[in-house]
Amino acid sequence: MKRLPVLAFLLLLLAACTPAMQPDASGSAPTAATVAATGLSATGAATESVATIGIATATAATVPTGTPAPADTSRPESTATAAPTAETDPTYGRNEDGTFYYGAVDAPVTVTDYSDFL
Amino acid sequence: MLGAERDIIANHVVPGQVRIVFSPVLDLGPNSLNSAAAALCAGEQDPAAFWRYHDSLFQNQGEVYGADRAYFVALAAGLGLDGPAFEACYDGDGARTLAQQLDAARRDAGIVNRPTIDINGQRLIGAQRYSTYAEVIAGLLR
Repeated sequence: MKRLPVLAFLLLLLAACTPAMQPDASGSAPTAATVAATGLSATGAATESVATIGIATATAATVPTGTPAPADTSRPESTATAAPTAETDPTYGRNEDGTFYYGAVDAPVTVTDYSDFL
Repeated sequence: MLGAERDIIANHVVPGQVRIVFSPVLDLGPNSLNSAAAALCAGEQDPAAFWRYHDSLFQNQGEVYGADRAYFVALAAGLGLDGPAFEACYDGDGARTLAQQLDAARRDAGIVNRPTIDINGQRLIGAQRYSTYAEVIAGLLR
């Protein structure tokens, strides 16, 4: 009988000394199972963002711009006063005869399009 | 030339080899003059706007043939141009007179077909494939 309290005490002592669930000593990332369950992944999120950006870019490029259909904006933008660089930025300007040009002022070749808009 | 124009711009204008110019031909009735005047009026506000207006007209040729004043005004508005300034120019004589002078000049130069593409004095009659223009340009650059 005397041993019973002692035995109970020992049992209690044993329970108190049982280690709790400790985190992995290496501090590694959640397991694959956890990742799959939560859908969290730094890599996955980044990929999704890039894909979204790509889609957004493609969409923006194809968005119609109204009626009457405006000019195709694929023509590089430039200003009439910008000087050509070594790579020759095309410029928009006006000739002395009143016609309009697009390209380097000192371009060696001039292509003149005589056309009716109709 | 619109079909090949983008290739010419990308491959020759951007690198500084070519400068493109547009000169109107007024062969097909009142809207030949109206459209040319409208494009010139766009250019009066900004030389770059001339080319945006030019591109829009060619992309919508089916509509331009039967277009009225409102069409040309709306097109200018759609391109962000100053509406009152555009209308004043369109309704005035300046741009129309210039278009007619340019048309007369091309006739005097013996240009009777449209389109006629003049590349440093070499004339190509009718729309050509880009490769044809590229060949002529390459020959001039050698």
